[in-house]
Amino acid sequence: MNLDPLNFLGQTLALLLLAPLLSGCIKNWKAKLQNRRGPRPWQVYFDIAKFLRKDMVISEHASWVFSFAPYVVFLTALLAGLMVPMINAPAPLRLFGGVLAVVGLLALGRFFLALGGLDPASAFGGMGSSREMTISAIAEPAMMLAIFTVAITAGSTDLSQIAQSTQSATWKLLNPAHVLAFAAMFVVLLAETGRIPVDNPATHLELTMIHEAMLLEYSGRYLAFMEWGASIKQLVLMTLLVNVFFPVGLAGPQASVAALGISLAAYLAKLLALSAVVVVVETTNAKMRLFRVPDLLSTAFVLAALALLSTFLFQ
Amino acid sequence: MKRDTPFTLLTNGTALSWADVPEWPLAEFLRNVGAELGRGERLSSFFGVPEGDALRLVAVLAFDAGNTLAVGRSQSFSGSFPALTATHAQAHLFEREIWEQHGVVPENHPWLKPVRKDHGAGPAVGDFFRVDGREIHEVAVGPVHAGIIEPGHFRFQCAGEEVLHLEIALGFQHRGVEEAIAGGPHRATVYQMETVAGDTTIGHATAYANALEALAGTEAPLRAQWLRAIALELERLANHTGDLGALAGDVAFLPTASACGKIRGDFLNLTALLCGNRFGRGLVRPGGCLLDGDTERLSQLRKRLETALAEVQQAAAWLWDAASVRTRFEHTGHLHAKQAAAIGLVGPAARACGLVRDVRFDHPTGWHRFAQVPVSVWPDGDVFARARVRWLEIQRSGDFLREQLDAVPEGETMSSLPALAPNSLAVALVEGWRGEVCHVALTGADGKLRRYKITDPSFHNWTGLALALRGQAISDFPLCNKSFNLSYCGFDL
Repeated sequence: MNLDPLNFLGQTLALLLLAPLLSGCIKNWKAKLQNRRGPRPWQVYFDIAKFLRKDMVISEHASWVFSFAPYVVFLTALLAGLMVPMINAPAPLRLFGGVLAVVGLLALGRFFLALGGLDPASAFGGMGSSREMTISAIAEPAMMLAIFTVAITAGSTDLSQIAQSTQSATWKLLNPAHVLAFAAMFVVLLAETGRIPVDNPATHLELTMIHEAMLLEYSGRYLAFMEWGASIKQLVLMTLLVNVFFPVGLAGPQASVAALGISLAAYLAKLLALSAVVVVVETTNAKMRLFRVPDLLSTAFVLAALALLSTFLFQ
Repeated sequence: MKRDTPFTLLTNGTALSWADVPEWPLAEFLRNVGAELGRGERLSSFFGVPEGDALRLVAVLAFDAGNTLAVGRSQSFSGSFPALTATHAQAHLFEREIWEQHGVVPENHPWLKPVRKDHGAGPAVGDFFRVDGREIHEVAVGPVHAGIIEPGHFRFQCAGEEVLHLEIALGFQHRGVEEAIAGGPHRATVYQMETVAGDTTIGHATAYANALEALAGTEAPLRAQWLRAIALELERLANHTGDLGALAGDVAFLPTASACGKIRGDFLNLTALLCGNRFGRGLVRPGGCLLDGDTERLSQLRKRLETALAEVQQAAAWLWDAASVRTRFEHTGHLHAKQAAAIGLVGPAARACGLVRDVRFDHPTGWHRFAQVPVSVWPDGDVFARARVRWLEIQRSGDFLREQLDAVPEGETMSSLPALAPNSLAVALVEGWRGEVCHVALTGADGKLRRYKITDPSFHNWTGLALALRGQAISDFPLCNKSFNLSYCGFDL
C-alpha cells in the first residue's frame, strides 16, 4: 500500500468540500426547473455548520449504537471515496479487493444507518430502516454485477486499474455490455442516494420516507455527520459512475499540474452533466409506490446480469 | 316527486313551523328513520334538542332522487335509546355526538367513545381499536404533524407495510361553535360562521345566510344570490386547484405541485377582487351580500379568470400525461360505491365513487335554481378518481363562471332582514367545495335561535378515509389523506 500524502490530502479535502456543493447544486437546479428561485448552491455548507453548532436532543431510549452510527456512516463514506479515483488514476487508498471493499464499506455504513434508525425505537425510524434494507438487498447485487462487468473487461477489480484500462485504445465506449451496466448503475445511483422515483429527499411526510425516516431522531452534530456522510456517499457513487464509464481526461500517475487541471475540469463537467440528468429525472417523474420500487431495482439487476453475460457474448 | 313517507317534506332553504314537524314516540321515530335509511336515503343531520332535562331527537333526511328534504322528531325522553348505528352505519358519528353533547346513551352502539371532547386527557388518549398478533405493530401519527396542517391523531394497526385498521381521533380544535350561537344570532355569529372551516368561508356563510333568510321569510336580492354563486365557484376553483397541486406534491411530481400552488393564489386573488378578502370574508351576510363588484372589476375578474384557467389547464395536462403519476394514483385508496353509500359519503369523494350527489343539482337554492352546473362523476373510487373529479369540477366551474360573468344581473345586493319567525325550523344545504354543508336552525318562542346544528362535509367523510386505507400500504396514507383533504376544524366545531 503506497500512500502519496499530497494525493491523499487533496482527495480527502475534495470529498469533504465538493460533496455538499453538489447536493446544493442539485437542489438549486430542481427549484429552477419549477420556476422557483431555490436555495443557493452553497446553502448546504451553512446547514452543516448550523447543525454542528446546535445542541442535540437524544431520546432516552437510545443506546450507544445511536451515537456511534453517525461516525460510522461518515467515515465509511469518506474511506470508500478515497478508494475511487477522482482526478488522478491511482486512488489514494488501495485496499485489497478494490471495488469489493468500496461496496463493503458502503454496506457497513448502511448497516449502521439502519441500526441508528431502529435504536431509539420510534415507529418512523423502524419503518425507514426496514424499507432501506429491502431496497438495498436488491440494489447492492445490481451494483456489484454492473461493476464486475467493467472489471472483467479490464481484467481487474482494482478501480484505478479499471479507470486506466478504460482509457486504452482497445476500449469501446458503446460496448453493449457497458451501456447495460451504465443503465443499471444509474438506477442504483437513484436508489442509493434516495432520489425521486425511489425516495423523495424533500418530503415532510414521515410515513412515506425511507432515508429521511432513519434520520428523524437525529439532531445537532450527529445530524450534521449524517447529512454530510450522505452527500459524500452520493459524490462517491457519482464519481464511480463518471470515472469508470467515461474516464475521459482522467490524469495518470505522476501527471503534470496542467494535466491535473484538465482532469479536474473534465471531472467537474462530467459530474455536473450527471447531476443535470438526475435533476431532469427527478423533475419529470413521480415517486413510485413503495411496493413497486423492488420492480425497478430488479430491472436494474437484470440489466446488470445481461451486461455481465454480454461481456462473454460480444468478445 | 311525492313519496309515501311519514316525514314532512320541505325543500332546501325553506322553513316550517316546529309544530308541523311530525312527532313520534322514540321507538317509532327510530323505526321511521331506519326505514328511510334502509331505502337508501341519506342522513343529512341527526341531533338532539334539549327540553328541560329531557331530549328530543331530530333527523334531517335528504331524498336526493326526489329533490326534497324530510324532517321528523321524537317525543322528549331521557336516559338511553337503541342505537341506529348497528344497522345503519351513517348514524355512527351522529349518535356518538348526541351521547357526547347530551348524555343520552345509544344502546348497543358498536363503538361508543367521544367525538371531540377530551375528558381531560386529550383526544389522542383513550381506547383505540387494537389488532393483536406478533407481526402487528401500531403506528401513532399526530396531533403534531411535520407539515403546516391542522391537528389530528391517526392510529394505524399495521402488519408490515399493510394497514389493517386506521382510527382517527379529532377534536383538538373544538371551539364550541354551536353552543356559542344559542340565544343568537349575536353580533359575532356571522364571523364565527365564516370561520367554521376557514377554507369553506363562502359555503358556511351562505348556508347560515340561507337558514336565517328562510326563518325570516325572505330571500336575498337576485344579484346577491348571483354573487354568492360566483364566490362559491371561485372558492371551489381555488381549493380544487390547490388539491391537485398537493396531490402532485405527495407523489413528488414537482412541476404540477409548484404550478398549482401559484395558480391557487391567483384564484384566491379573484375572490379578493370581489370583496377585498382572499377567503371571501365579509362578503355573504344574512339578507344579501355586503359588497359588490362594479363593472370594471367584474370585467377584470373575467379576464384574469381566463388566464388562471389556461394555466391550470396546462398544469393539469402535465399531471395527466405523466405515466408515473397515473400508476401512483390508480388503485390507491379504493373505496367501493356500496361502502360510500352506506357511510353517507358526500361531495367530490362520493362522486368519485360513482354516486351522483351534488346539492347544486339535487337540492338547488339561490342562483343555482336558474343556472345548473353539471354533476361531475367518476366511477373508480380511488385516488385517481378523486383527482379526476376535482379536475372535471375545475373545468365546469370555469365554464359556469364564464357564462355567468357574461350576463350580469342588475339590482340591489342587500335587503334588510325581518325578525326571525318564532318556533320554526329551517334547513339550508350548500354544496361547498368539499361537499354538503348542512345548517339546521331552530328558533324558540322568542324568535331567538334555540338550537343551531352544523354538519360539515368532513363529518361524513372522515370515516371514508379510514375505510379507504384498509389493506393499503401505510406509505400511501398521506396521498389518500390528501385525496380526501378533509377539514379538521369543520369537524371539531
